[in-house]
This record gives sequence, C-alpha cells and structure tokens, in this order.
Amino acid sequence: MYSGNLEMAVRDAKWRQLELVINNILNSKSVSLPNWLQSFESIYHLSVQEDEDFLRKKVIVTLERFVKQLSKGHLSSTSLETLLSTYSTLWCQYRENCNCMRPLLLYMDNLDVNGKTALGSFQKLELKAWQTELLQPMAADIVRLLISKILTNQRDEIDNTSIQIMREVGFSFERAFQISGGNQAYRENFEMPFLEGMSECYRKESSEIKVEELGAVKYVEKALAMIQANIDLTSRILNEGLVEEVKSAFVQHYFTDKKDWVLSECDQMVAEERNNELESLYKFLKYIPNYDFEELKSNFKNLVEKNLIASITNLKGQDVHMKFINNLLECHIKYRNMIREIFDDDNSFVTVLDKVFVRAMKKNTMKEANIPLTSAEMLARYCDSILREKDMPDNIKVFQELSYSFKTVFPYIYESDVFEKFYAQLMSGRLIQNSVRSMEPEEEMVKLLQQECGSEYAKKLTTMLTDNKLSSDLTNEFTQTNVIGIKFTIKVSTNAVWPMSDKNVLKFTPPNVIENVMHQFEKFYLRKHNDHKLTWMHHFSPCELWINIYEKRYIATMNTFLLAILLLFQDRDQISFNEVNTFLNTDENTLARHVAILVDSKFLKSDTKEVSAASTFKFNAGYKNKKTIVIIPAASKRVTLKENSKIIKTVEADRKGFLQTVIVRVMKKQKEMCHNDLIAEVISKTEGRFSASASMIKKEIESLIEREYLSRKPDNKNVYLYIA
Amino acid sequence: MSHSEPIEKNCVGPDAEYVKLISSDQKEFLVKRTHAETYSKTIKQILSGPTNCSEGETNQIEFSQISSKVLEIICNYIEYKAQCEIIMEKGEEIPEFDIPLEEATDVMMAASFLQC
Repeated sequence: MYSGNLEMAVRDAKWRQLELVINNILNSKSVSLPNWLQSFESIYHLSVQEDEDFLRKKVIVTLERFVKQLSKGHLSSTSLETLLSTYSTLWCQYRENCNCMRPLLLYMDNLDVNGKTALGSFQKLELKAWQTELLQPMAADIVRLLISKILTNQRDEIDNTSIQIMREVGFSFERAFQISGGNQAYRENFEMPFLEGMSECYRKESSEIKVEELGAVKYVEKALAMIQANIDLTSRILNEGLVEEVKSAFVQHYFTDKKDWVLSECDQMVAEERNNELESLYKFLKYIPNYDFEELKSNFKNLVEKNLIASITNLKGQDVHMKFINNLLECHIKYRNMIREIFDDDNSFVTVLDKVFVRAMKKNTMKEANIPLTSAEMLARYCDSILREKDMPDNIKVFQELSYSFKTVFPYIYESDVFEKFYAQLMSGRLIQNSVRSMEPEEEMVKLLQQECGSEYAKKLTTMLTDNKLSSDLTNEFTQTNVIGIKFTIKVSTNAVWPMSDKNVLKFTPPNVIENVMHQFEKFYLRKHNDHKLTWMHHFSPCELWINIYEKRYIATMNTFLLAILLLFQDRDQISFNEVNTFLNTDENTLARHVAILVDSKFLKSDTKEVSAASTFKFNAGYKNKKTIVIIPAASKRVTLKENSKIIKTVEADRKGFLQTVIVRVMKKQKEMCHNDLIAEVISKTEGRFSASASMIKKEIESLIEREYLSRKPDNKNVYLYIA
Repeated sequence: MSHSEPIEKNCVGPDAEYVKLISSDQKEFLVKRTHAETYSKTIKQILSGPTNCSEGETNQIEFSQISSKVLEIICNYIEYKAQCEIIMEKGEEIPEFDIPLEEATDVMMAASFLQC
C-alpha cells in the first residue's frame, strides 16, 4: 500500500509537471528549457512505468478542457459578424501551438509501442479535441456564415484578409474532420451542408435577375463574368473538388436553367453573323454539361450552306472552274476562320462544315446550281490553269498555294477517280504542248497526289514526267548528230501510261519534208531501242508554217495533217478534193473534216458550201488577220466536249474493272459471303473513290459468275462462293 | 570527449555547432549538434521545442536522471556512430563498441529514454 501510494504520488507529480508544460504551450506562454526537458523525462516515466491508457487519457482530458474553455470563453461572447474572424484567429493560434507541442506528442508516439495502431496516434489527439469540443457544435453556424461571406465577397470587392480567414476556416474543417473522422465525416459535416447552402443561394439569386429586361446578350455577358469571379474566389479558399462542385451548382442555376431562353435569339445571331455575340454565346453554352450545341450547329449549317450555294450558282464562262474553286476556297476560309475564332476551333463544328461542303459537291447540287461540269473535273482544270500560268515569279509559293487549295477541296470530291483521269489528261496536254511553266510544281503535285490517290496512279504521272525529260534529251542528241533542215523536237511517250490511244491515229502520207525526218529519227531511235515500236501521232504534232506570200508574214501552227494539205498549195493555186487525196492517200471523211477546218480558218476557199468529194479548193489570196501568229486548232469546241464524255466513259469502264477486282479480292479472303454482306463490304472499299450502287455491284457479280470466278451456293441462292 | 575550441563560441545561439549535455552530477559533455540530433531522436525533439535559445544563451540540456558515467558512454556512442559512417563509406571494417557491464542497465535505460 505504502509503496503503491508512493508510486502514485510520483506518477501524479510527473503528470502535473507535464500538464503544466502542455497548458503553457496551449496558452502561448513560454516554457523554459529545463521545464521542457523535464517534460520529456516525465513522458518517459509515464509511458514506461505506467500503463498506456493513463497518459493517453490524461492528455485527452487536458486538450478537451482547453478547447472547451476556448469555445465557452471567446467564441460565445462574440457577435455573429466577427465570429468567423475570431474563429479563424483561434484556430490559427491553436494550430501553431500544437506544432510547438509536436515533439512531445511525437515522443509519446515513439514510446507507445502498443497503442499506435489501435487507438490512433497522439498527434491526432489535438485535432480530435478541436473537432469534438469546438467545431462540431458550431459547425452549422460557421458554414452558414462562410456561405454568406463568400457571396458578399463575390458581389463586392475581394478583401484579402477575408480570403485568408475563409481559407483558414475551410482548412480547419478539413483537418479536424478528416484526421479524426475520415472523409465521410468531413463530407457530411462540411461539404454537403456547404454545397446545399450555396446552391440554394444561387437558386434564389438567379431567379431574382430580371432576364427579360436585360436581354439575352447582356445576360450572357453578365453570367460569364460572374462565373469567372466565382471560380477565382472559390479557388483561393476551397479545395479543388469543392470548387468544381460549387461551380456545377452555379452552372445549374445560372446557365442550364436559362439555356432555352438564351437560345431564343440564336437563329438571328448566326444569320446576321454577329460574331462577338456568338463568341460569348458559345462560351456560355460550353459551361453547360452534356450539351452539344445542337441549335447553334444547325443554324451554322444553314448559314454556310446558303452562302456556299449562292457563291457557286450560275457560274459561267471560259474560266468557270477558276471561279468555282476560288469561290469555294473563299467560303471555306471564311467559315473555317469563324469556327476557329468564335467556336473555339470545336471539331464538331468542323464536321458540320465538312458535311455541307461534301453535299455541295455532289452531282445533284451542281445540277441545281446550274454548273456545267462536275466538281472533280473543275478541280483538275483549276490545277491545270495554275500550272500553266507563266506570270508568277515564285515557284515554291505557287506550289504551296496550289497544295493548300488542293488539300482543302479534294476531300470533298466524291469521285476521286474522275479527278485522276482528268488530271492525267490535262497534264499530258501540258507536257505535249510545252505549256508547263516549271517542272518543280509539277513534280511536287505528283508527290502530293501520291499521298492522296495512291502510288500506282502517281507512278503513271511520274513516268509521264520522265518520258518528257528523256524526250528533250533525245531531241538534243538527234538534232546535234543529224542534218535535218527544219527545226525539230520529238516527244516519245510510253504507251498505256499516257492517256492517249494509238488506235485512232491518222493514216495518211505526210509531206516529203516531214517524211524524211521521220525516217531519220526512226533509224536513230531504233538503233538505241531496237525492240521498241514507234507510232507517229500526227494529230498531236504541231507544225509551224511561215507564210510569206502576203504583205505581212504569218506564222501558222497546225498539226501535220493540215500542214500536208496546205503544203500542196506551194506550187499550185487550186486543187480538187480527189487530187488532194491522191497525194495524201487517206480516208475521205477524215480529209473532209480537216479541209473544212482550213476553210473555217480562211486560208482556203471552197467552191461548195459543205466540203465534199466534189469540191475544189483555192488558196485564199486575200487573207488578212490582225494577229501575226495564228493557231489552227485540230479540234472544234464540240469535239472537246465529246472528249470529256469519252473520259467519263473511260471512267465508267475503269470502275467496272475496279469493282470486279474488289469483289474477287473480298471473296478470295472470305471464301463464302451472303449477298448483302458482300455489297456492304464492296461499298466500303470504294468509298471516296466513287459511289458504287448496289445494282452496279450486282451486275459485276453476275459477270464474274459467268466467267466462273464465283458461284452461287446450291442450297442458298443468296450466298456466293469463291472458286479457286 | 572535450574539444580544444572555446566553449562559448560553439554553444551560443541557435546555430551553434555543439550542444552541451549536463549530467545529474553536473559534469558537462560537448557533442556536435548534428551528430546528437541524428543519433538521438529525443535530443532532436528536445532541441526542436518551443524554447529555442536566442543569441547569448547556451545550447545545453540538463539530464537530472542520467549520471556522468552513463552520459559519457552515451556521448562516446554518438561519436562512435558518426565515425562508423565515415568508415563505412571507405569500405573498411567497423570496430566494436564496448560497454562496461556495471553500467549496462543504466545505459540501456538512458538509451531508451534518448532513443539512441
């Protein structure tokens, strides 16, 4: 008993010493070094010599007593206005003092081998005391005060000290509840009531705004300013998650609830292109969750469509393709920029824009807009015109601009194979007529087309360019090593690569002058490539004839056939049709056609209205022309259009072949496929190149069945089998 | 272990290089502050308390429960641990640290108190 009492006395003494130190610290009184040291000794004694709970219980009681005294003392006597700031000050001081006390508590933890896991560390005890004795009872009031303070701060100026106070208050909740009660307690006691309060206030305030008086535009501006201020303020006070939730509540009441009313003026805004207002409207709508700007997009679509169709309707003239493409580009740039500047470069708007353009380029739309050519052809002709122009000084710039135009327009063309055909045709025309302004842009374009149209197609174009270069080398070599008598250039083109056919070659006897050179060249060439076969394309070969019999000298360009006819008049003034044919030895219709051209050109006069086998022709002695250089075209306008329809026929034939290749490839892989699946697969593979219809595909399937590449399944007519 | 440097210079003020450890029988021991704080958690906690000495005060801790004999051994141990670090970096062997048996229990209690 006696020893027991002594021990207890020692224990109590030690505890009292420790208690004194703790209380001094809590009350911000200074502690001398010896006392401080002694407290360690006391802790040591109490932890080691006594049972665990003693120290722990005593510490808890001390802390709780202190906090309770705080709450009863300072806080109950302050008015509501100063409550927040008083609380904040007390909290800050408490926190600071606890920090000073930390080494003691840390020491207690270190010595406390048993209780750490079960009962929580000593370090948390201070926060727990704060939570249970002070914060919990006052939580609701403090939250309410916090909310109203935030709202007043939003309305009026932001006051830095207030912000500090509010931040401390929020922080105190976070620390006190989270550490002692976990996230759940924190959320229940602080975040939820806080959010509910804020949300309620927003609801009330937003319903008090007289929106109709303000007008949609002004309301949007106001709302945008308010939410920005709100975010600024709350992010300085609350944690991230809470800031987001407060923002959502704000958005709910100020934005989402008012959305429909704000959108009422949307149509007009878009139609009148009131860009500034649209920019604000877009920003406003962006805050609303799960909203994809339907009204805005459909209005935008209508606007673009209207303007696009207007800009390309009823275009006429020789350079209709230039006007078309240029207008298209202008429209595209304008609305793409609009998206970039007003709609925050939103990709879904770009999709809307693309869809409008794609539809505009389709056949039906072009027909309705009164445009004579397809969009594919126009793009090809546009490229042709650019690559022909002789006046532009900078090659690289030419190509860059062309490349941009091409890359913008090409994706909208739905028949890329038509484009390919026309481009090849026009390029071959440029090369043969020597109208290429520079090889660099041509080569760069071929590279570009390789990316867009595939390497097989690009290879054809590259071969054409190579042929062209080789031809000029050939010409140089030939003319340097042979005596010819006339100025001569040759172009040798690989058959099947160039879009020319050797089937409709003009058959006639060329004039001696020409024939001699032909023989010389053939000898020269076949010595180099003795396995090649040459076919002369006289209808493509321009000859320059200097006519000196008139007062003025004329230089006339025409093809070899026409030259042959005119040269006959070198030693006679008049000649009959049949006589001409004895010299030329050609088919009557062809001859008649070409003589008619010469008559049209006024170099010849015919004694009959229509050129026929019975006509006689005189050389026109009174020929006069303002121009010195005269070009006699081998084909009339009508023929050019016929050429175009020829191209389209070639395209259709190509498409059939393409479809068959695709069908065979698909069936080879799948071995067996039902009708609808096959159709769907083929359509997906031809997408972009041209639009294949189900009936087209069906025809080709039938043709392949006839040729025994495919067969029908015996028991199910709808299924096809691949025949290996 | 005492050092040849004058005491005043090194213990004065909060940034002093040494701390003075005083035993129950008023013997003073000087240890490098960094070592003391590294190898005794308690000393570190004590020194980080709210009573940091200001200019002119000496950094000293009085241990009313620890005798000079024990305290001496503790100080030696702290130095020993510091030396070990250097030796280990060089890769040589560590010498042993002997504690005389009579003091062993007292040393253990002090060590437990000082967490070293």
